[in-house]
Amino acid sequence: MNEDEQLRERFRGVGFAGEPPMASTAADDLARGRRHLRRRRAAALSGGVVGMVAVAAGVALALPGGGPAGDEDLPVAGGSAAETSAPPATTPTEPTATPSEMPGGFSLTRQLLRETAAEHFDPAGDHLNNDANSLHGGGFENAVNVGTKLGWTVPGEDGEGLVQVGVTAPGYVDAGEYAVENFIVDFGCDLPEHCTEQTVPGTGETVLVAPPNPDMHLQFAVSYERADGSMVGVAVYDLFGNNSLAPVSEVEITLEQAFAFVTDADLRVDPDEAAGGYDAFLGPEATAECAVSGETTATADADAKLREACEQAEDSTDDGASEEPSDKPTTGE
Amino acid sequence: MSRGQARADEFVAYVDARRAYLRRVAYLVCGDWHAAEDLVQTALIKLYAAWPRIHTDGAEDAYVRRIIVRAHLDEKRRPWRRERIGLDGVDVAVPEALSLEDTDALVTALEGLPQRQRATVVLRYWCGLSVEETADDLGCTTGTVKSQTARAIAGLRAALSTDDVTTTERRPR
Repeated sequence: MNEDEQLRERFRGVGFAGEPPMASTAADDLARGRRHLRRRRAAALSGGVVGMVAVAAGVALALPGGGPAGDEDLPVAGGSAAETSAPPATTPTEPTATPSEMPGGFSLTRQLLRETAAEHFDPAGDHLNNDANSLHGGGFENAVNVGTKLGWTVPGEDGEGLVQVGVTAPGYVDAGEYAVENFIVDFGCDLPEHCTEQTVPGTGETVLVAPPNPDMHLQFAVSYERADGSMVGVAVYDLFGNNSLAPVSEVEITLEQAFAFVTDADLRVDPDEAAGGYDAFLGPEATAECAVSGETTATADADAKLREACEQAEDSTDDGASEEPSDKPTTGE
Repeated sequence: MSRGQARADEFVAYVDARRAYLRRVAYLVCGDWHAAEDLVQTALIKLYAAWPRIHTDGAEDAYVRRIIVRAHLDEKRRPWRRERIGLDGVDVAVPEALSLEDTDALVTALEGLPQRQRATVVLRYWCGLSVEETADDLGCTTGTVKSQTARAIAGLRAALSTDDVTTTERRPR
């Protein structure tokens, strides 16, 4: 018997005479695990600074000529007026709003997001709704995160799918401790380990891919970190929960198209809008309601600034409609 | 059954089955039952967060074991952990005598090894991992595992007499 085997034998004979009884049960471990997971998700969702800025486009729609008629009849679950403004599935799409007509801030960036999405996902213009009225994001004072939700319809079907897109300013990934997690949580990675890294063929670039999640109507999502520290993401859902109860049969966007979208070098936060920091979220004419997370951490000054701006906006807001942090279906935990 | 409930049930079933084993691994690595309990709790918290991926891969034991070992080594690197009890040369504890009858002789000998050597030898000989698996758990090269193992064995040989090492006594685990 060689030394290895001798040692192995000896280890097999180790006694645990002084072993105390278990101080904890599996139920205790489960409770601790759940608590940890909740905190982690809360930290990711709180964004360190901003929970969400939602545009109360209902005010704009109340203006003459605003919004399609009949939206009141749509079943809407906690959605913003901005998203209910998307046309019903069977309604022909309206002319694309120019950036200056968009309620809320970052209109140029949202317009670019919409146009880039159309270029990669729907060049024929058959599916993607023309507005990019919803504004999502947050980020940090010096590195904002801007996103919008685009409806996806299929001719002959009543339902509506969703293409959520987002882009951040350069330097975003280093702007806060959980910056990357805050971004990718909106693109299918509620936990980073749920996503897998994949290499974009022909480029060597690495992206994070979230797998299908039928519970959330998620077909897939892709997020990408660029060399300049900005991030781009796209999530594809067969149901736009705020606008429709019925999913579409499929949002025909391939993973390759998503790769091309997130690696599109022309997609960026408009530099002038980025320079405006948080103030740009409010836009020149928009009324807004802000849901600022209570668990702010790193950039309290910026948080306070946004809160103040939002309170001012609220004072002049007639419609109190607000948007939940996410209108996607949420997991049970 | 909801996805969350299924996850909870699977997790509880796993913990019920493996907690004792995992705590023994932690104990052999750190030499203290209370610290072992802390390590296991920490590892299981992380396991729950990563459960869907880890459970799908069937890699629960490896994942928890890796966290236990790495968390312990990380902890030992922290400055406050380097604190030495007593005054140098004044109240040095008398080393506990080793005895063939002492069922914890090997554990006692393990305590005399540097942390990384100790972790290496526990993974290799108690957990029965290969050199490659041990290197993966420790986050080092296979060459490091081999050298650490050789030094650990030399250390154990010094702590236990040659006869002691070669005289094996089988006891139920």
